[in-house]
Amino acid sequence: MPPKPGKKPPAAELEYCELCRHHHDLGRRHRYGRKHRAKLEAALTTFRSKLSDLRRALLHGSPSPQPPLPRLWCPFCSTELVDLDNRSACSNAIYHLASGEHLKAVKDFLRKHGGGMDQVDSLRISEDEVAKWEKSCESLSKGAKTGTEGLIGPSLGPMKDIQNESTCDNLDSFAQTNIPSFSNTASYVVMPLQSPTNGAYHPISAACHGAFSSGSVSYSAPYGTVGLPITAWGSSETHEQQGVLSTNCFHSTGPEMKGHQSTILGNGPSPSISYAAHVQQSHSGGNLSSGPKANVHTGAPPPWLKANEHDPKNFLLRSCGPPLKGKLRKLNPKRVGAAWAERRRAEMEMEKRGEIVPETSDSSWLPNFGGVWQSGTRKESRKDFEKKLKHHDTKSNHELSLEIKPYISKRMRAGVDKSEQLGSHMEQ
Amino acid sequence: MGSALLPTLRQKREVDAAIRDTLDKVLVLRFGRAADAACLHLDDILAKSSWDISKFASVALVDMDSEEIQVYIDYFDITLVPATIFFFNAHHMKMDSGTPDHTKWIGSFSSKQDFIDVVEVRIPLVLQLSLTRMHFLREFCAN
Repeated sequence: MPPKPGKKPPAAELEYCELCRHHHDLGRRHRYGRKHRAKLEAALTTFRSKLSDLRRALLHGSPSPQPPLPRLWCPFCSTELVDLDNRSACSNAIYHLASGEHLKAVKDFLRKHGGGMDQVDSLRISEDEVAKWEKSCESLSKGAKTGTEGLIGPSLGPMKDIQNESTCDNLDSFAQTNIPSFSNTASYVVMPLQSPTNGAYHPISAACHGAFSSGSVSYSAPYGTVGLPITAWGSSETHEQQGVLSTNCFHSTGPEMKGHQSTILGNGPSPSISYAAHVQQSHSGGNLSSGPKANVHTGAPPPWLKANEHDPKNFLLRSCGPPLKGKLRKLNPKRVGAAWAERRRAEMEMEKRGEIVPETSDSSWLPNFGGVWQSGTRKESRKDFEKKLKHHDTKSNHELSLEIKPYISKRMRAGVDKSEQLGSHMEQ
Repeated sequence: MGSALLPTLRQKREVDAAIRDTLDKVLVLRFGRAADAACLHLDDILAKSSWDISKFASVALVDMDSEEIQVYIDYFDITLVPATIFFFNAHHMKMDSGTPDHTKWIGSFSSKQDFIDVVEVRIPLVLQLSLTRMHFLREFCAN
């Protein structure tokens, strides 16, 4: 609420102004201060000049005397738009500047810090411009593709496009040259760790930087695998093979890699943790890029339930079986998988006695409700489950009723009712 | 050494049975290769601690190179070895190890105690016990 004019505002709370970088208790009056206005003007001018650089260099295709900055700080959203020296990489910044959230942030910023709302358009990229840029990008990439098809050495085309082209299309040649590139990562919002935060592992990442094959780059792009020891494993592999082939990554590493690996394991107070963090790679991200695949990330039914043949020769772990016979009664009946355990135990006993138990594995046992592991409380899970159960029940009831009762049209029903009414009237 | 002491599963039905028939115990499956350096280290830790945790957990190794196991490799999306996956009553247990992937533990453990701690911390979770009760149970098991 802006303070009413003519009245001295009550002692306001201390506020922090990001632009002036100091605390004040002036409330909304602060933004009319001379210093604040100067700072605001400076910030907006800087951003506008950067934006115009970006526009000139990328949207209109004309090379500017200075290349666009690799990093652009968006003061409105307080985010850093990281761009590598790559045409497609700048899409990150361009899409951000054209996004609705950026527009909202700009409006909020101007509302908070003053400055006219008529400046909004000059602080963002319009959708028309983005569409135009996309078109020009497509045409350029096509042109570059035809231009660099037969070339091996440096071509006369724009250098940026060559790199882009080679990461996207000419995977084979890229794998042979072993050029490290994170250009693909830049088109995603989530940026990988550019340098390992743990100082002990710098040499590894440095050693492994050059060892990326093109396949691994595109496969693991969304989350990045900086420092992951993966060597190029041939040039003819496709994304489909990647899942299996990349399991060989530790095997295919050279002897120096193995040396590093062993140093990781024996290094530091908690080496395994940093090791795990070091090799972090989300395979779900990989799957997103290589197409939908039924696995644990996509919520596919687990393979151990797909065991269709249920032969009694099943392997049993030496140490498994009913382990806590005496203490079984003391176990919490609400423990995870209690129902499964009880059922399976009964099944196993019946199997022992020689009775054949029909295969009853279905997906209904899966806890496909709630967010026990992800988020939320158990109460929420329960509510969710009960809601779904109710829904399921009504659905099945509805189906049943539909099966039992044949459809009678309203007119027919109305006719029957009328005749009944008439009949009753006649009787009366 | 570790692979000699622990059961190694090479067929899908073996893995199926291990997951389905390990009741009221945490099942630890190590996916990897016995020849791999990191796997050797992990196997050693697993073998050394398997007796200590045998009252509430079973450990088994899964050979990734077997053809039948590829179903599991694909399902759990195992790319890096060794990958350790935990189960309880045929439920896959997820864990937050600081990586975006919560479905498995990648790499080895630094020490035997680290692994035991990770397995142990699962018990109150799955049994839905309080930590005090857990300590009581531990004492009870030890005596």
